[in-house]
Amino acid sequence: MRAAAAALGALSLAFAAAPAAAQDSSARAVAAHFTATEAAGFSKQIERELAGKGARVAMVFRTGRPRDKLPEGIAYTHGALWVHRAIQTADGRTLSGYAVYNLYAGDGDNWSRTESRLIQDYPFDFTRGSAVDDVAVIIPSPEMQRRMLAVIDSPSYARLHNPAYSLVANPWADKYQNCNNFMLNVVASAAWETDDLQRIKANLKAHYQPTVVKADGLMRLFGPIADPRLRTDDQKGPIRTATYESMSAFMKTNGLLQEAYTLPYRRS
Amino acid sequence: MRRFILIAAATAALASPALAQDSGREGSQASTSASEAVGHLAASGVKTAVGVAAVPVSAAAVGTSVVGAGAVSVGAASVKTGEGLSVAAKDSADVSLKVDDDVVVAADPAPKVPYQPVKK
Repeated sequence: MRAAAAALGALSLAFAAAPAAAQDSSARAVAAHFTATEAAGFSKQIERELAGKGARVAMVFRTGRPRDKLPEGIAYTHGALWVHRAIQTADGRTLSGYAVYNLYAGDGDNWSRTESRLIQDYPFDFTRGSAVDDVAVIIPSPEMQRRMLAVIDSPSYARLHNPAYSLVANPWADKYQNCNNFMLNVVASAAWETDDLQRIKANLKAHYQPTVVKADGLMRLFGPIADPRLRTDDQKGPIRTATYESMSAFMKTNGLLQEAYTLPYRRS
Repeated sequence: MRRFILIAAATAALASPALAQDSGREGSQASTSASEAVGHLAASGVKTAVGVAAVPVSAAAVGTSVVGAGAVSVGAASVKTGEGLSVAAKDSADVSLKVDDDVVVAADPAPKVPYQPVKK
């Protein structure tokens, strides 16, 4: 705890000193792990595997950073909802496949880096951002899929979104939100059949254990120290955030899960 | 205090980005835009398409547009009453769903062009 406090204090010092400019371009460079063709192949592999399991809704996680740059206990850095849809194309066709429902933070150009938006894109857009050869998948139980789909297709979906963005938003609080916290809200909304955020947060505090970022992981975690998205004033004590690991554990413990697994890219 | 200073120094020295939740659009804003990616994929023999809307399979048959936030959304105001939209998910387990071969790519974002030329 003392070490965490020391590290946070150090961060606030370093925050003022370090340059902010190069963070996004560095992230893009790392995300160039796959060629476009490989990313396309991986995205189609994931789609086919989900479809083969009858998953109309799945939660898929990627990491945009190499594993050795991530803190212990955190293997993925972005998660989104994959939903089986009919996709209308620019050339007038209707295709079957998955659409991806993301919470994205701004890049500081198109919109503020401390603000997020809900944006739907496609599996190829998702795998292009991966820095490693695997993703993690949570397939909710059939009833949870049905309920989550109902949430996604209702005005509740937007109500569960808080555009105030933090990289390490506390999932027990609603001051800030990141991609995983938003997905967790969708899961909770479906599980308790409510879009009342006060009720959702109270229930999550009672039943969901976030991932605690260990003090010795802070250094790796908080590399972008001048990043304005690093906001921790919603945290009391250790830094807690939502991850693939803690969300899959919560869903497994509470019978909300069909399966959760890591899916490696099969290079041909 | 000593630990504090050491951590501060080490932290300041580390300039590489490492995010817990990197929800930035780095994937879709990488070195190539979506439309360029379509060109690259097509040149590699990958069947591609630019997606303009994603709708529930059941709604596609009747032309209803239902997507997430930021677009046209039909459905009831509460989670419970949204059930009708998701009937198709009831028997999802053990049912193989169709996935077409085409790799769907999101269209480029809306244009963002300054009204006046930028003075250099």
